[in-house]
Amino acid sequence: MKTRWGMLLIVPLVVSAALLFGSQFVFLKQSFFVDLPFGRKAASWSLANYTRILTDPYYLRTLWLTTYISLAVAAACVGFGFPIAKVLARRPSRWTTFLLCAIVLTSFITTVIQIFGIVIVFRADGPINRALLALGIVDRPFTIIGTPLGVIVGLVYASFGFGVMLMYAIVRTIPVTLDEAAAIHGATPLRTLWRVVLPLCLPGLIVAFLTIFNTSMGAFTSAALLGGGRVITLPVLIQRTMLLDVKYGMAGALAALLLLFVVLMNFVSIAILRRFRSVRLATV
Amino acid sequence: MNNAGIAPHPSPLPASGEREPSVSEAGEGSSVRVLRRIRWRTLVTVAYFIVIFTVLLAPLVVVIGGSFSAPPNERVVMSYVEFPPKRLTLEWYARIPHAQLRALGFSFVLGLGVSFAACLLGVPTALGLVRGRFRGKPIASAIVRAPLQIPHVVSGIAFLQLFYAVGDLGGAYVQGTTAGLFIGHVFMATPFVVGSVMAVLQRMNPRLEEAACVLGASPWRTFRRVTLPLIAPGVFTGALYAFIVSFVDVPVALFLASPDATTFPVELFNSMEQDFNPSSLASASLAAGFAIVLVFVAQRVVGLDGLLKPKTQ
Amino acid sequence: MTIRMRLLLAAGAALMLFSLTAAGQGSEDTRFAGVTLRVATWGGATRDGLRDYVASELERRGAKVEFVIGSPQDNLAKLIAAHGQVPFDVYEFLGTMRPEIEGRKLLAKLDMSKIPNAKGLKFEPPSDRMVPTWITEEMIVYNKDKFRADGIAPPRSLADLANPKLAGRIMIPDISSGGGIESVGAFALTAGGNETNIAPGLKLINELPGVRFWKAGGEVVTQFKSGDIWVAVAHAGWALRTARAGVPVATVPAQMGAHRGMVKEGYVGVIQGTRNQEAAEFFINTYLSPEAQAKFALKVGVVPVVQAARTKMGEDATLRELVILDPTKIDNMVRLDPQKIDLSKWNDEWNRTVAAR
Repeated sequence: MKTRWGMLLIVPLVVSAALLFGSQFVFLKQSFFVDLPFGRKAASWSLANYTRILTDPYYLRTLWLTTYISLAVAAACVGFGFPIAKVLARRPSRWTTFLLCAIVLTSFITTVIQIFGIVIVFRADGPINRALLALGIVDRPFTIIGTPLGVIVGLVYASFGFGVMLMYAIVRTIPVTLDEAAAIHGATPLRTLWRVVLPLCLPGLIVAFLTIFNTSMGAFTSAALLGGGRVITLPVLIQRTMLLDVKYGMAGALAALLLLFVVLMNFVSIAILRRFRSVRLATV
Repeated sequence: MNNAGIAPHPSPLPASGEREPSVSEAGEGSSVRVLRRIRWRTLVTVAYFIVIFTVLLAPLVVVIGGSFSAPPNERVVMSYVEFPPKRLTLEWYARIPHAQLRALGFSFVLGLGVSFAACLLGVPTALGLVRGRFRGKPIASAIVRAPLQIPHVVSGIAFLQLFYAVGDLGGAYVQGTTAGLFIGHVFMATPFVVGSVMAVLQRMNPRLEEAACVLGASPWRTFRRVTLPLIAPGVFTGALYAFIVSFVDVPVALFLASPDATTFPVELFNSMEQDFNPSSLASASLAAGFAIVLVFVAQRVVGLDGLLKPKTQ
Repeated sequence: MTIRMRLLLAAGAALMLFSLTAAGQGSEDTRFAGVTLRVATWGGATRDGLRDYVASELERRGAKVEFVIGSPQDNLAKLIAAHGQVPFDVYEFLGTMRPEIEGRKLLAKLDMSKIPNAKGLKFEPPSDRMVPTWITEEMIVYNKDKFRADGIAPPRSLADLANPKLAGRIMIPDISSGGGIESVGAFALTAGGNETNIAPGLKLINELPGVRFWKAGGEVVTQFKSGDIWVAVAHAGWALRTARAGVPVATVPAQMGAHRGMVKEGYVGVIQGTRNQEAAEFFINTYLSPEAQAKFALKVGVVPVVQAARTKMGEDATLRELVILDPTKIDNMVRLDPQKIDLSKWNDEWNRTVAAR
């Protein structure tokens, strides 16, 4: 009996497409009009918004700031998270389940709540500063709020759980027998990790890195709350331009820039993944 | 993989007198060395885990702990939270602003609605994409997956402007209403259901359905009795993530909410900027408690693997 | 009739009489029954003060009062985003925002006959769509103990904040916060600029080592308390609240040319298109009553605009220390000219100059 499964798609696909194209169309269209005071916009379209973004050092600096913050976040999440993911993936136990649940929990909680905690933990008389002062590492309490480091910390908290979950799934795809085979051949665990597991995981890790990078480029909450008004990343700038400055055209152009960047990164990651997959299939 | 540091493959015939070193070679000295190495390694691993998880969970612990912390100065309500708490109290819970409680309930109901709608849209989509035979599947798949790529800020701004445009044309404004928020969140949440159900469907053996057909069941009956139960875990996980996406969202809600329709994260966000006091920690702890329960329940229902699936591409 | 019946009749008559008078009072007290009035204002003590001393009068008459919390710039954003709909009925804003708000025609005309308390105002409202409600004194607030311990002289002008010893210990208003516009103006005046040329002021702000920005005054209190900051630019009311929280602070009106200190005016208006005009006007009238003005001022640390209330300010000792009550000194304080302020340009310049490098 042949069921026309494809027919099921029609209604939801139309809805999805309408929402997708409808929403993207309007703001993109708006971005081609220059904003005038008091919420009015210019009568005829122009590329002025875009040229301003690409030539104004302020916008370029914002893009650079957002980029290097996102790179740091992705590096931290993958760097600190991979050992966790690997150990959890290789040694299933009751502990593993519990720890993974704790990790999933952090992504079930809205970032704002994490930031409440971060602010208290990092304040001048909080545990971190007290410890640093006691150990003599600093002679005055320091603050991370209003610095790029603070935004990076907040974003790491936001993405760490997700990163670990992603890498956990990746490591799980590598059969344990490979580790065992390497061990039989006399490799130490460290060598096995470095020469066997890591190269196989690499495409997945790159995808994880790029995904977290992308998410951080578009992340708003941490930057807004921990940036202290000084660290204005692209998403924060977009929100301010739209809601506070009420410049719909410029906000649309900035959003288009962000969108373009993110989509480009996605294509790059897919291309890398495909290339590695084909290489891997060739060698295994 | 020749330079992998792995000892050369042993020849089939043992060469006389020549034996490559192997881990299993047991001499008294080397086994003790191995034992010490393992213990050292385990110690380092455990220490690393403790550090990472302490750091990871510290903010949450501080929030929940701080919500019970009594202010040192009785007369004055301050925005300063005493941590570690010197005295415990429940007063912050009693003082949770009515607006925050209302927003918490609103977010909960909104999340349920979004989850439901995402399933209504997502399950047929997944079925159509996996089982359907037609050209243009990659395009359809791309359209459906697209919201995952779009940063939430961009979605927020896009929908706000869409609603303005629609309102200007048709007279019906949905920005700042529950309906507007709902639409925006469904847009963000549906791909999670689709991905999750697709993953389960792809692993499902279609012959089970064929068998049901052969045994005389109608397509609807087959769907209800065979397919649906089998994809249920995928639907559940997808629905769970759809709920979470809506429940924790800040950027889109910031654009699409209004004093009429405010979500809980937006209330907390505003309270952090404007009106911070420990009663916000109390309501945040309520939400955190709810999340803990959710994780626990989900883990029981679909197991850990089910819980982690939708995040994969 | 038996005695019992007579007693019953008497009881019934008493009950009827009682219920009639109660109903009579009720009909007077339910003038605003069914009305939900939304007031957009700052959070914290401002909202508490309005709730306890102004909204309570409305609630006694059957209304429900909800507060939409945010700085006036944030609330203006909500208003604009609402695109013609009415997200709140009463709006508290700053005098320096008048051109922005009037230019967008967001306020409704007020029926001044419903606001008789306006006759007690110290000065005339600039238009019939808004009414002043308080003035605040923008000051330099500093922690006396920390300054003394580090051997730093008490600041006299904003330029004194550019002291390396204060690195990372300074907090000034973000331009989008309630104190932001005045702060930027003050820095501009200190550095030799004015309302149309704020670049020198922004340059001065950049010279403040490790300066941070506050979005809500409550942050000032918290940061003083935890020792994260030693000096801030905020209005005297925040100093008052910080002092009440146990931090030894003092206030200094900053020297700007011939003037000492800056004054900021708060206004209230009703949003165009509201359905609760009457309740809104009643709210404003109550806000301007001498009792409400005095109690609010004592709680929040602002200076009332109604003369009769000003005399009561001297009652609180801490307030007397931190808020300047001498009328000649208040008159000597700078007031920014709203007509010269191009908020859009200010925001743009701020974003460009002051964001992290």
